Amino acid sequence: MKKLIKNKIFLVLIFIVVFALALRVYKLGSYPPSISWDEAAVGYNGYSLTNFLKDEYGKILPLYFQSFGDDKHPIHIYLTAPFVTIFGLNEFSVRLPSAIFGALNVLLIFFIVNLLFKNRVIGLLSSLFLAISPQNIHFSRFNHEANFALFFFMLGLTLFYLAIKNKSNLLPFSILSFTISFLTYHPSKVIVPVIVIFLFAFYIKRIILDRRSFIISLFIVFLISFVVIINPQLLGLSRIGQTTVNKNLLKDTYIFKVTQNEFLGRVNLYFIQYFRHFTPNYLFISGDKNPRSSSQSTGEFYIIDALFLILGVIFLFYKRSKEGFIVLSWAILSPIPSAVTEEAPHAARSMFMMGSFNIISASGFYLFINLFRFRILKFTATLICLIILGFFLFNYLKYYFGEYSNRYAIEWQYGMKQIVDFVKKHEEYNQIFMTDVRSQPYIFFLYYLKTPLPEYLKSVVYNNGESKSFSTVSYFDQTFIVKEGGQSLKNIYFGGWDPIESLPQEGRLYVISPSHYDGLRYKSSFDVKKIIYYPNGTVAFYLISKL
Amino acid sequence: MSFYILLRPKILLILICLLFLLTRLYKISEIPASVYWDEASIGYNAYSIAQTGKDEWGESFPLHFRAFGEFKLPIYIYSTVILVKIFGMNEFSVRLPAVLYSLGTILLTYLLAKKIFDNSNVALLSSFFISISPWIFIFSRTGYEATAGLFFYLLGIYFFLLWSKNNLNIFFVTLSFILSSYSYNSFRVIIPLTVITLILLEFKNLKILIKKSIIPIILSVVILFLSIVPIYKVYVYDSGRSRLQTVGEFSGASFISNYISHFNPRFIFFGDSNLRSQQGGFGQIFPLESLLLLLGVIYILMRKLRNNYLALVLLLVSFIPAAITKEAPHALRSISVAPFIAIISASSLFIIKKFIKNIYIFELVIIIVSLIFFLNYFINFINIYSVKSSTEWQYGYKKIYSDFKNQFTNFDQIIISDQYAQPYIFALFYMQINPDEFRNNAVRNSVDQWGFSTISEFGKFKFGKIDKILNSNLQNSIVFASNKEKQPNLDPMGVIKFLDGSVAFWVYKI
Repeated sequence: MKKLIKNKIFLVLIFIVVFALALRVYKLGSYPPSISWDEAAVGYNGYSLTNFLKDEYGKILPLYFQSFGDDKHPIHIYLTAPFVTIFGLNEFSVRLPSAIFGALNVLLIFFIVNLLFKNRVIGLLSSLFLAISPQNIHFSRFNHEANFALFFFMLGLTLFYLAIKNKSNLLPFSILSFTISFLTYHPSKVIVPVIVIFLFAFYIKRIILDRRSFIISLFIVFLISFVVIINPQLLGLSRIGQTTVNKNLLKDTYIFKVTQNEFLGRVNLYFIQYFRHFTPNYLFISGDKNPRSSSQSTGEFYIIDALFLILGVIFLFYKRSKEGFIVLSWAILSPIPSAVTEEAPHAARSMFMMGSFNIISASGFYLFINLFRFRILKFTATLICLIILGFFLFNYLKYYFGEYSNRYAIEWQYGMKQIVDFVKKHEEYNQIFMTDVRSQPYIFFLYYLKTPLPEYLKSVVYNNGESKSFSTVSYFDQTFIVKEGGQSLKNIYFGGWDPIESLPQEGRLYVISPSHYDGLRYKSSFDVKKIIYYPNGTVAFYLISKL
Repeated sequence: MSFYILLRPKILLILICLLFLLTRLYKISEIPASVYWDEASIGYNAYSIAQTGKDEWGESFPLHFRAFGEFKLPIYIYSTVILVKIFGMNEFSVRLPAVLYSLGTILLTYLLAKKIFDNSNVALLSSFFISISPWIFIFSRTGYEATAGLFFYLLGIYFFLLWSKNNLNIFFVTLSFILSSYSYNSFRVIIPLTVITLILLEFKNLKILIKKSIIPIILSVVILFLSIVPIYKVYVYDSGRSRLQTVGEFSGASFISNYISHFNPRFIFFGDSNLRSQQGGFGQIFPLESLLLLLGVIYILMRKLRNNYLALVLLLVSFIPAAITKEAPHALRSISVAPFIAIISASSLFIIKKFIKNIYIFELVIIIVSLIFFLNYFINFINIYSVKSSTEWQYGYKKIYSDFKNQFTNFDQIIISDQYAQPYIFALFYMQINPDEFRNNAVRNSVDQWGFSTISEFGKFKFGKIDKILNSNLQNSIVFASNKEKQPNLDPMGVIKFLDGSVAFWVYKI
């Protein structure tokens, strides 16, 4: 009998994971409509890693990636590398690892909850809630650190609880996994150490039973500290510098006005920003204001989660267990990385809301269903709740696969692929002038042209001007095999010229924005070769050359 | 555990009241965007009483205010007098009494439910339901007299239920019911029926109760007769019947169909079509509450307790005033249904208890789900309703008297269209015109067939159809013509728009 239930549970679990994977992989290449600069950078660096063991700057197997000067984290790039190598440099391949890790998280959360609460039903419900979570679906459908960081965090947690249960030699692997999560994304640097400290404090008695594992674990911790100390870029300080809170915001806080003390003002601001993550608007109505981080139509959770979250908190308080405390602190800490930076509430920086909030929701759902006395009522209540959830999910997906990708294509730097395709097809142009208004165009050229790294490194000219944030690279060239068997060299320039003064010359292709096209000085001597439209019909780029 | 102190009924009731006050006082002057003519009339008559002791027609301390000829009832206006004295004549003073009377309604709903069902859990849930009820939401934050009527009506019922405790209470019953019937017309129909219901309820003890309280009963009869005389006078001598004639409809068939129209799902779940009674797209009852209401009715029918039937009968009585008038279903005229819906919905807890292991947590579930619906309702009210409904609240007139006030001195005549009805009262309200000055200068049109009176001019102001007024000779005038009366051959100097962007007035200089 027990085995039968177990089998049933696993069947349902497999069904949920497959469903989660389907939600994350379906039309992955075209929704969101195009890859962003970060995705292209991850993809190209991954490609150059597997083929040349170097990043785009020629650094051999780096621990961090300079990229656009934002010192990108290593883990997700290394994990993306095999995918772009196998499936080619396209939208689907660079996103697939994120989707797969998203689905793996759905699987993993079942095991964690099972270990924490020893309750398979809550485990299944947690999997279900994570599988349909708008926040997790969103971050699984483009290449982003979030799902990788979450995976290694949850893996660390699972291994830790297995270790203290009876397999103590798993402890070093748990610590290793936490370390990998730590190196994957900024929010982990806040959440992971605190949770690890809590775990050690709670279970120290059981941990030190196995001296050997404990010492190896400590050794790993020291090793990683050492690596971080000699490579401080691993902490991503340059990025932290870019996102620190604005001084003006600080001066608007109540406490700063009263005390004129910058530190107290900062504390006040952090508090305000922290609680912004708990407004109904952010959680349940429209979510993160940045269209890249949320679909704008649903919150980070569904409205019905409001009920389950409150009940879940009651459930965990009622249990008063160490495990419940770990889940609650995971949830409570999760908005902090976003609270201390700009643009709070920020769905990516508060990514640890995923998982923790889903577990709390699932506990609340479990509590709710168990309020009913008779089996038939329990069944009816479950069915009604699932229908409501299905309805919300349907609405979310309808918007995501419809209006969202039409309206916010510009946020995804739509049009780059079409431009590169045009350049590839037309041999007559040997000088390409590419506008940098949509930022970092060079990476899309590298990605879609599949430029071999040595050739790129030979010709690249870095941008040393002031507009560095728009384009890190101002020039490179690439040799193409022409149909007749000859070769042609294409020189590609990124920004650095005044688009309005563009000169109509033989062999030159200009890619410019609509506003620049309207202001062209020699408009009459230019021929529009191609217009690239956003999915909603507005013009993205004009491709022009001499008449 | 000190935490459980927070869960005491009194503390929770205070929390419910705070929730109520917070959602009613928030932006009370700005949403709805302006006063409606009735609010303006209440405000100005209160102002006039406060300043001169006379109403806008010059009558000293009247019992029935003639106003637009429909004879407004006095209680709400006199309540406003005090606030006008303290805060001046503005939206806040006109609307605050409705908030306070409704706050009283919430407390009385708690007490009544406790008296009827003898369970403080049910009582608390009742008061929670009434505090978020969409039926009374708009009425309880705008200058609607019905809220005063509802308060005194419930007070009367409550005193009646306490009759056996104190003989004097029957006198307070009479007093409360008189105050109620001097607050809002519906209660003049409901109260006699309610009294019959209450007497039937206490039929067994009636003889003893009457014997014990002879003197209070005599006193009650005396004040009852004294209170009926002015009503009789208004109906017979003045054209007080006009109001009933305009809105009334007496025929058996239409009564029944009007009555039943209140049970139409379209009315219950999509709301009153009048934008001043309900935001468009929202029902009179939230879906979850309607489910609980059904369970509550089943509970009452199954238990067959005399006391419990009271709530059900009074709920059914509440629709009668709206049924005898032309515009049914009508949320405002059937306002007294709201507390009974809340009480019966809450009584469903008795049934739910049988199917639920922990009723307190389930109550929390009900409260959270209701709050989600209410929050959605409230956010829509603040962000969307205020813009959508400004036409219904005659916002254009407010704009005229606040935005163009300073320019009025430059003109000899100010001509204002009466397209949106009774423009003069907004001038009096927003420009704080001295009542004596108004009474001396006002020129009234002859009273129309329904007894309604309008003003044609006072001081520099002239009101009426623009095309008619433009036919006479005008010099150095400013004209406010509604969009329908747009003058194609004149060049407008400005335009006044409703909040949704549609044109309220074209402004011309002649």
